Amino acid sequence: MPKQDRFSDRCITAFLLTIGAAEAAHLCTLVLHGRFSFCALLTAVAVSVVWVGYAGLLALQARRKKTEKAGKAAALSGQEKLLLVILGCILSAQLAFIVSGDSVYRDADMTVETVVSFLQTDALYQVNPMTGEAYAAGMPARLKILCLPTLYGAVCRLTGISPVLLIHRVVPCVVLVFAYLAFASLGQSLFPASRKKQLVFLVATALLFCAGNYACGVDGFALLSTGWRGVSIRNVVLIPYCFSLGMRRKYFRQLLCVCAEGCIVWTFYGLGMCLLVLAGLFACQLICGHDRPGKEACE
Amino acid sequence: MTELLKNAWLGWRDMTTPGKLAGVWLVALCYLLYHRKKLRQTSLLLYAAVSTAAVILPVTAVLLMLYQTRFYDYEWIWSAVPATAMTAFAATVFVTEDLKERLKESRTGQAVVLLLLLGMLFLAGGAGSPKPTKEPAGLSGPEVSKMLTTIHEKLPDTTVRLWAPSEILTHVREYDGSILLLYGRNMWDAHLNAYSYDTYPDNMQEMYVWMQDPYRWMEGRSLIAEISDEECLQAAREYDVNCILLPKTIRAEALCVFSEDYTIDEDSFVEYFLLTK
Repeated sequence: MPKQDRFSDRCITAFLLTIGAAEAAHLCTLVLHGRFSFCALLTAVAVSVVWVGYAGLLALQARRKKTEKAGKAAALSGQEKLLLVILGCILSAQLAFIVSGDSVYRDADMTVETVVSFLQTDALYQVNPMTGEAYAAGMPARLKILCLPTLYGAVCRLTGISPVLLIHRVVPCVVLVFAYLAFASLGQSLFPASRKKQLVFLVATALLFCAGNYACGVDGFALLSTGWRGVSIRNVVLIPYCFSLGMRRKYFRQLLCVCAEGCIVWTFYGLGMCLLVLAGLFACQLICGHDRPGKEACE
Repeated sequence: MTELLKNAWLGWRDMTTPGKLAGVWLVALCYLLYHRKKLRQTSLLLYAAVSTAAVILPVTAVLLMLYQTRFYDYEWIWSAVPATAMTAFAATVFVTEDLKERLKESRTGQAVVLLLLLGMLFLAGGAGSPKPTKEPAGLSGPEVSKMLTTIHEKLPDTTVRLWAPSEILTHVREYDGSILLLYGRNMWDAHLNAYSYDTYPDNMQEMYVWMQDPYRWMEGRSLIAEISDEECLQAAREYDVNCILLPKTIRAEALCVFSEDYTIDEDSFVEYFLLTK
């Protein structure tokens, strides 16, 4: 594991590992033609194992670092405190907006119906979620292997929460938090030496999210109106995090992002946008030379 | 290829008509390129510029659309552009460097510029304009959920196969997986057909038009189903539909035809007849 892990790195890595664990449980159930209740249990076990394992790894890392001299973070300045308050207000307003449910945009998405069908039939993809009737001609295999509906369904089965509530309210709130973590990570990569600039960057991002809640393909809309979808998670969590990783040349986590996208988004034979972004950024780094981390954005 | 080029053009239009954040991003990009010499993130800036050009130029846009499986529309190729991140980056550099430098004496001036920028940002955004949706208006999910409870009370211990107007059907399978539908949301939201190879028979599509027709007929519009009331009843028998919800605005003669097979309940719902068998 890399030495200079940030808080955002740890959280997003746990997020990526959760997707991986859910995908493993999902594929295992598909191969074994298992029931959905088995899949839910398997998902819970796989995610727990991954979380415990990762927490153990972090604890080990922390113990090793104890011997190293721990630098104390400087106290927040007045301006930084003000920026934090503004950011907190915008974030709270966005959470309230999502929880109100007024912004839910369901066009071209049937995640809730899919999860409801899993729970009803106790099986994966046996009926068409749109009608509840058995499939006549089947469905694309590439779609069948995506794990998000299974993960959401497992949470519903294990907690008893309704699919509509989980998918349209709870998940977008979680994704919102991870989006800010991803952008915080990117902010730290862009302005490594200035906490104030990192906070200004996050406030600007938050305002752009608010202003951008108007059309598909805009990050604000993905986050505030369709936060449960695989493409939204990719656009507001994975891709910004990929930029941060690309700037720091963290190749293992880049691979995790590419794989995570393959598990949650219908990609071109697994070659999704994360790979394209990372390849493009790598090519630009070869042309321009690597951006120098550890220095300010401007001279 | 022509179709893809057309899709790219229409996608660009759809994306830039309701809001202008793409324009804000282009302004931010110009600002960053102008100040490129004092920025250290040159490779990120080069990537941002190249990817933006690639999604705007028709030929590269089409190539990117092919790369993303053609399943996704034009707007999704913008995923490759770090528009939000780099706009925020440009804003941060402007606010913390340029603005401070140029208006170092005047705090009021700085505040005014910030407010103007904020106003421009929200004017360039959607400014609260409603998002175009294929979602039928009329009933909320919880309202439909209550109706489903009544239907289960009327048809206990039976698998319900429901046919109803789209504003009801759109929410049914979100709240109750035990109810089977004659047709689902993919009847009016074609994007959903990508998730399955199944298609609807022609007469089922006619039944959809018929079901939506009475409203429009009452409102004096011209959408008229080609299927007759009797053919509709025959198709409902064929598909084993045992529960129908018809709007109370329906023509009396149509209701009369359905009374041959179904028991009509006028009191369960305010705006709909409940037909069961």
